[in-house]
Amino acid sequence: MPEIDDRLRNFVDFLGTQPMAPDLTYEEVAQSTSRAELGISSLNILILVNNYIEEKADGKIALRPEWVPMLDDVEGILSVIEEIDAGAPVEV
Amino acid sequence: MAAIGSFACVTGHAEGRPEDIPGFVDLWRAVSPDTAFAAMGTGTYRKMTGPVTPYIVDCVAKVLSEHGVRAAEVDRLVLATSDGVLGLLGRDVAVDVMRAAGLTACVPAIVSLQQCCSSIEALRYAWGLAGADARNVVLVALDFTPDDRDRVKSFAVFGDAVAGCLISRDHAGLTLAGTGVAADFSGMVGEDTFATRQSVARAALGQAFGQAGRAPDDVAKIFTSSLFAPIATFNAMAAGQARGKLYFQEPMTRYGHCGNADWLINLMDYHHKTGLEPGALYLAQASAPGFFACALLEAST
Repeated sequence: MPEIDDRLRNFVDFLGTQPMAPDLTYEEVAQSTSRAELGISSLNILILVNNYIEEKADGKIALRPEWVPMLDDVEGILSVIEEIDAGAPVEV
Repeated sequence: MAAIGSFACVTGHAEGRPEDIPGFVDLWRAVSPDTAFAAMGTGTYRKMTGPVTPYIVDCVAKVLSEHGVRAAEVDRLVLATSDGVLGLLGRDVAVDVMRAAGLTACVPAIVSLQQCCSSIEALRYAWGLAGADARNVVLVALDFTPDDRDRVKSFAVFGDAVAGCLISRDHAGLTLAGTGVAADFSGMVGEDTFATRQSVARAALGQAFGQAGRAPDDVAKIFTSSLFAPIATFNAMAAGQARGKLYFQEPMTRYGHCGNADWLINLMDYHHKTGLEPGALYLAQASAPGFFACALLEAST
């Protein structure tokens, strides 16, 4: 059974709030390797990541060129989400 | 020394809204299920109401009128179009345009097979002609979609337009400092990824900046393909370009994605509204499935 870590839970929980995202369980995401397996189109992942930045970082983080190739697979997407979280302003 | 100027554009005469295309909801769902169309940043598109030849002739006339160049003084006519439209042009398109436009001392040519990047290759070709023995070269990029149902794609809504410019040794304007074009076969066959798209863009941009001996930070504005706003901005980010340098949103909202004519339309729109700054460096770029092309244009001081 693949490991379901906090990064994955965070991502799947966020997907659950997005109308354009497919309904996915933790297990389904954990068992997938590519974005295509998740049923998320290239256009939708751009919008999802942008929405994530808006929600978690108030739009204050710019997408980075080095993140681009990471958006084709699940591990890469989780890493990008993690990096956005790490760069998000801390609420006081 | 030649210079590029006298930009002109003739869009389709009829205005339409994507949402009014019969069967739009199903068309959009087929190409992009679950995505809200409202987030794409579109507005209207333009549709040609008759054959393309009169639009081309009108565009040529507008290009020549800025400096009062007589049609008989044009040495070369370079047409550019995307692959699909190439097959729609009649075998007599060059003669028909030349006859109607009065281009009686002119050698015609057409550049295509690079999708929406074709006009940048055509610019490079036309610039070479002007650098050799041609005095006045007219470049015309054209693209149109006869069936409205074919306008709705996952990356843009297509509009109809013809846009052109004059490359002349007699008038001031922009200098072509460098060009780049790169192909990605996986994109041509619909198997590209974010990584391959980023790679093809970087390859083409590297060629252009290398030729020009300039750096990306030197660019004042980028006239890019009029794709959906989230895609155009993402592509720019992927290529390491600042979002604030992009100029496409307003023309895209009015005209849609006019294929390989986009960069000309966007440059002209910016030129009319803001003006080109003397000495500034501008980047025209186009992307298409399997291709990326760009041209660095320097305004005269």
